Amino acid sequence: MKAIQTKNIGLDLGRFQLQSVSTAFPAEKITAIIGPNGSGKSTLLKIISRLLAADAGEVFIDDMNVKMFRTKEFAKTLTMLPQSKELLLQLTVRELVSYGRSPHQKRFGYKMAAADEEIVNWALEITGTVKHADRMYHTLSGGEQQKARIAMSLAQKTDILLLDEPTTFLDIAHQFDVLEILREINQQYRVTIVMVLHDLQQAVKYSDYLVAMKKGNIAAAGVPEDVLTSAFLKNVYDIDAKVKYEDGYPLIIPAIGNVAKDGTGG
Amino acid sequence: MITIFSKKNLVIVLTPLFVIAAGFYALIHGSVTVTIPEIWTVLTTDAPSVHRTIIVDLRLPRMLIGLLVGACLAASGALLQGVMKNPLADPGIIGVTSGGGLAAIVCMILLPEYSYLLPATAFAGALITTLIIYSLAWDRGASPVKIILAGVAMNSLLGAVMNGFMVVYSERVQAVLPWLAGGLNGRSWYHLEFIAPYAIIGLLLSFFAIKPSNILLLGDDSAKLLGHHVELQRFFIIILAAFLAGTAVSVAGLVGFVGLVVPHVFRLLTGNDYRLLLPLSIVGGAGLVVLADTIARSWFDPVELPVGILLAALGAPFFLILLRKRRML
Repeated sequence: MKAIQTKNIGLDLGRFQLQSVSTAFPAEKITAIIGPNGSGKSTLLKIISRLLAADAGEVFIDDMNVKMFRTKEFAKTLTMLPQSKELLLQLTVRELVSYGRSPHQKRFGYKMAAADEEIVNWALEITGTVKHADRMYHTLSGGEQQKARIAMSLAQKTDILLLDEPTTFLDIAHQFDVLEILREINQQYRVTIVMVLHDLQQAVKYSDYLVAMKKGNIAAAGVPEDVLTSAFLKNVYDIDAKVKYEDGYPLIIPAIGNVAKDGTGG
Repeated sequence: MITIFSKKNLVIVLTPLFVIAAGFYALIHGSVTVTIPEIWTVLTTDAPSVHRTIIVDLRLPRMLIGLLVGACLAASGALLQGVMKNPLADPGIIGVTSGGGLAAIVCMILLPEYSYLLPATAFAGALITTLIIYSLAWDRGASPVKIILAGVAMNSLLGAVMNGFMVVYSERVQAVLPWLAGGLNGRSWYHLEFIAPYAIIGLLLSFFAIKPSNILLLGDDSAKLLGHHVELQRFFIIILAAFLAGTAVSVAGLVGFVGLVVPHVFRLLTGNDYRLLLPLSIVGGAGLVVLADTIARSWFDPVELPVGILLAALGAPFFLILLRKRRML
């Protein structure tokens, strides 16, 4: 079953283009989008989540064109965690997570229903942020802030959760923390997850499906173990490297000295 | 850190006390001092007296106008600083000052016989200018940066026209100057009746802007992903801010600094959660203008300073001290 399908998405932003991107993301699975900087990964997520309007093409969620959703309905179906930016609003973690309930509430309502309260508690619980619930968000470390933001998105109770580089700028412990949380959400609550990741090893380990992009096109898609090969690394990232698995964890071992100096990204 | 005597709670208690104190000070103080028992007598009996004239005809309406002007300006500034994501935003940025000012000058210079239309003209000028700035900034959405840039351009254009008028009609400028400086001198029940409905409607509506203001501070993308119509909400908040500031400007002239400083002070004291920031700014702004106006009219006897001048003169250094102390921009 396909949760999300894009058909011939095109967007010309001058410095870079999406060229007729057609791909699909399986329902109730974790998909990782990988690819060099500037390959259009974040842009694709933004188009799917309606933050950006494409010049051409359509996005479907469960066979429904995303343009057909009303704003609030869409926010109950799909949400995204954008790349983390400084949050201006000074709130406690619990207050921030409560904002996740806003598509389910009346426009000017301030009172939270008991059911909303329960979902907020659940989101705090599952992300391990409940111990910080009454602390001010801006006093938390980057890793804890990221978990609180994930909790807010979870509180929206959408079927689909997109994440744009959820582990970037986190220390390695928090990186695995976040990925484990996402896996648990996917396995226990059947949430479809699509995330942009830069760490290929983590992408293979933590996803059921892999979509690779290069220069605004889909370069490869499939089961992670099939996609990540030496040939793939050469083709998409222009690096010479071996791929090995140790205890089921993929290792990418670059051929020392042969790493391309001109890079591929922008 | 949850204690009853937290700074936040102290501010919440002291701010209303401040506005009450400022209100009484405005009634009591002046060239003639009227004691509280005398005020009570005036307000509870009908007997005509000098005190009655001073309190009922002069100080009471002026104090009430000061309250509304301060409340509107501070609310306007608080809303704009949030919606523009810019702590230095004030009603001037969306053209309220230049638009209202130009309209007022045109009215006073070209149509002096219709000077009773001044408040309405200034009000209309402020709102129309805001709409023009907003539409200039529109391009598949109006981002705060574009609005600010369009505002800067529009302000300098209108400023040039304003100066042109003042040069060409230099012999009539005298009548306009007090209004441009911003003051409450001679404002009476007529003016109160003009602004009260707008001010009260605007202030009540501003409470509906609390939640959208907070959501917009989460960032445009997050707000959209939470199912909010970001552009629509931003538009309404900007128009509401123009409405509030235009109301204040229409009667008090170009009183600056309240809209900038008051919300900023409360943001430094209690944070930027609009559930607190907006009500505190409204109350604090009301108190500040009344206090400043009382000082401006009575401390420099025999001269009566326009309150706008005093606010700017005292507000600027205070603001700078605050910024240096907190390093929080």
